Amino acid sequence: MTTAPLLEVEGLVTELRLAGGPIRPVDGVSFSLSPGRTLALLGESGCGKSMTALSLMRLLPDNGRVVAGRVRFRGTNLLAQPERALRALRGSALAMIFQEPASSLNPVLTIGRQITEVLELHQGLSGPAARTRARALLESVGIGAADERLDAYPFQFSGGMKQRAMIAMALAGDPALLIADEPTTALDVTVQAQVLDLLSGLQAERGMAMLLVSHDLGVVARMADEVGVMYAGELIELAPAVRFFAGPAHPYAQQLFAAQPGRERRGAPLVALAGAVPDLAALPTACRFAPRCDRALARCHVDRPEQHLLAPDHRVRCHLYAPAEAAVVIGVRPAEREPAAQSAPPATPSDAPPAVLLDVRGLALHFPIRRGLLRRQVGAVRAVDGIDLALHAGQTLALVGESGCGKTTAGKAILRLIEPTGGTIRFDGRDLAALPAAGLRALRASMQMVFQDPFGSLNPRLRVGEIIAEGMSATGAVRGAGAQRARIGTLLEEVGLAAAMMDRYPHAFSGGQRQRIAIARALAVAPRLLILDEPTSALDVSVQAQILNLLAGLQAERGLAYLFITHNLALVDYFAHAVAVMYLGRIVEQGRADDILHDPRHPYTRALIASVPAPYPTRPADRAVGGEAAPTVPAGEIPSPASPPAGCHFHPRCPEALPVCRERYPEPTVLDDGRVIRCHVRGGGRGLAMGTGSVVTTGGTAGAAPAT
Amino acid sequence: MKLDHLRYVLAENVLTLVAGGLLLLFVLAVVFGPALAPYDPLASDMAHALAPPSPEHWLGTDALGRDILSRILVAARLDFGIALGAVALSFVVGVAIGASAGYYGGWTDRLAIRLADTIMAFPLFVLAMGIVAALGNTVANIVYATAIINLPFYLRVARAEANIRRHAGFVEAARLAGNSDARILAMHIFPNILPPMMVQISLNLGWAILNAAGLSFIGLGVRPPTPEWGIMVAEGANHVISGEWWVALFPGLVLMLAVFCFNLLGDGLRDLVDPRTRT
Repeated sequence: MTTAPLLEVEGLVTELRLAGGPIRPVDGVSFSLSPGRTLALLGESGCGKSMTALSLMRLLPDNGRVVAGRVRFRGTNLLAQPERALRALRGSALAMIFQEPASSLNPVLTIGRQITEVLELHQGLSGPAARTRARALLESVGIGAADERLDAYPFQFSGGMKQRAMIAMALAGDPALLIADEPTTALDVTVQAQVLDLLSGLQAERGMAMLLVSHDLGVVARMADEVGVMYAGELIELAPAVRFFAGPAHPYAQQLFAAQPGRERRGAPLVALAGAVPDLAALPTACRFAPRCDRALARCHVDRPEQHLLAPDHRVRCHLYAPAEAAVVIGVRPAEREPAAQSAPPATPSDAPPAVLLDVRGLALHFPIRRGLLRRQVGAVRAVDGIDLALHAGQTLALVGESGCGKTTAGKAILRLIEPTGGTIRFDGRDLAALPAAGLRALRASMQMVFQDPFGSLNPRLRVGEIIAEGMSATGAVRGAGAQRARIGTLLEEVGLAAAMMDRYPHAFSGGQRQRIAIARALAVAPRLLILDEPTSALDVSVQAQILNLLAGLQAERGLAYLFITHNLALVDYFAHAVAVMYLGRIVEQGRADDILHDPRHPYTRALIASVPAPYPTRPADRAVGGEAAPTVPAGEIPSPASPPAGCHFHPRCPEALPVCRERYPEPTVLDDGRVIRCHVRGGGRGLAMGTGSVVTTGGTAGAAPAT
Repeated sequence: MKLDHLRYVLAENVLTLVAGGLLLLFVLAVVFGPALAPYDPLASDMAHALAPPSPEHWLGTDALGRDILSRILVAARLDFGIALGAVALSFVVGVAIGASAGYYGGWTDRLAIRLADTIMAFPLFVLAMGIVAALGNTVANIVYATAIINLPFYLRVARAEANIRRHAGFVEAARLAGNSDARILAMHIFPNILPPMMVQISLNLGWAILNAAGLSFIGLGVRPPTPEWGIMVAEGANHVISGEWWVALFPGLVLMLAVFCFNLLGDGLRDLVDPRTRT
């Protein structure tokens, strides 16, 4: 801790010139970073964390410039350097990796060429020497068969491998400081865990400093030594990670924790911040968080707070910690605060579940692969390959899996947005798969969907009122312009918007508001089942909490059933009654949420759960060893559904695979707690499960009842 | 509100304002051309044949002594009529075929694209010449010929724009709401492909004017003595060498300004029809 800081940032102010006048996305940010340490900048979208990172590198957009402050890197002020000197630093001593590996690699150059380019520029290597070095770099980021991979193009790499290649490029210049801007946000959770492991391993090996930009408390907890929280361009709290995660000081940071869904908050509404991040063009002159703060004092609306030191290395920009106020508040932990009293807590699972509303049996959707002149079918992508689901009225069934597992396709097939190729779907006793297209229209009134992307799911050319009215007119649920307008007004109010908003166009709304509009549209026809396709994955955590509270309230009020499609296990833990875990088109484990998430049996479920970084710091020792009973993160990535591995689809990644796993897909087995599992190792299989206990089940009930 | 938006778009874009001003002049000529013309555009006056620009004849007279200004003003209606008719026709047909092709995919799509490819396989102006030569030298046939050679551009743009939206969230939501395919195409796809189409329309209008004038220039379009910019340039071309430059120059200049005006207008029009630029 006594090493001289590598990077010192003092009073950094960055300005962007916009049509409406200049704004300051970074306003007076100061921090320092020592070699080998990681500082995480944490915040929601638009808080200025990425812009801070770009300012350090002086890679601002054309209309941006740093107007004040100093950035000292190894003692020299980067902001005073000529562009030439900085260019020599970028890519060598200062390296950066971005969120979207897909768009950060040049698609027409080979991976090898892109790495050797950096080596030529900054290390003076060329020819075979550069290639040898590039191969060593690829190996160091865990890419096997590196010699062949050097000649591959980016499109031949999976998402995780692209990000590894990006990291290899960043390392090519032997950086002293690595800036990682949301490095794993675009990746699946098992791949995220691999990449985070890789980054911390490389950091320990090379003694790099790392500036990590992230919105994810779990990632920050996993990686950071120090945490800086940003809000509306200001660094409002800076603390060592251990102190921060033990008890954040700033009310905003506390609210971020309180908005995290998870098991401990089950059944109670999440603490959701009211309102939205302030418009940078019209910032309050006082505390920027005061309008949304539930503990704001009178002076919070008047003066800009100073930074107060809670400890030599813990500063917070908040009036509550001014010496006069400090006695009142210090030590309040978010977990101990009562959630704001709200009506309509989410329904809790009861022992006798209500009637089955949606009963899916053997649902399959195979996309044919056609080749040749006659377009003969040569194979099929088995996107959904015979899944069974049962959803009870008024309950939530979560369909969980990584990208490409077929969960969204399954949701659309249930609604017959895509025609399924096999299986039966019974809704309230009627078989939907057999329903003719005409009968489908009546059905639309009872099943609706909320889509993932709130920006793509609303027609930009229609007013909000027209968007909501459409289903009413088409299904005849509400007739007459006057009646419709009245109903739209009530719906908008029900989802927390104002009735007057119906005459605006979608572009006037934020992501969270758009998702509310999408929910209002779905509710317009009074459905009994909503299919929610990752409804909050495009939203910030505080907005996510608002939407989850809304959904929970609507479920309690209207007895809606939800099929909740998600990759986020914390959401499932908070929200769902039942869970089905999907891998490559099939459901590998299904049962009550509580059983599955806290006593996962299938190796894939266990791997998924182990991969989710917990929002509290783990000791460095645990990080290195991986903890005692924690199953290891699976190697590799999800294979293509066009050519799934023979036998059990998961066996190439499974730490417990048996010879039989390579030969045939396991049959479903019902375990004693009612869960259904498809696994040779853990699903009974005539005692095989007992013998090969390389990993002991965490639940203690070691003997899974062999039911078949 | 609409007017405010128009003012905002014009103020943001000076070139659009210039093009708008030019368009206004052309519209005036289209509407009031015959009334504004100082002379009868068809009346020959051999005494004043090939008179240079003068206070009596601002833009001079042609070989038959007809007033060039009058002929240009009167011709505006015919030239714009042909261009608008042709563009409207290719727009309606092109969007209908293209949007359905992009939305349904499969065989509809393959047929539509082959149709566009077939048309584009010909040198387009030669194709237009062929159509007019085969069908006969009438204004209607010039409109059809121009419409046919413009069709592939509308078809392809509409197809591409519909194709990227066929699985957009709002289209699936509309399907879930119980809309028919025709209604989804009309209410959800069409308004969204309109902005890029507007640019296409504007560029195409200039091109269609040029095409109609070109057909007349080579004698396959409107017949003399009807005033038409292409014919006027053709007639004047013979006199350029002997020094009577005004006969060909002024109709040519007007033709150029018309094309220029539509090309500039394209971007402004797109901003005008896109609600995302509305505040």
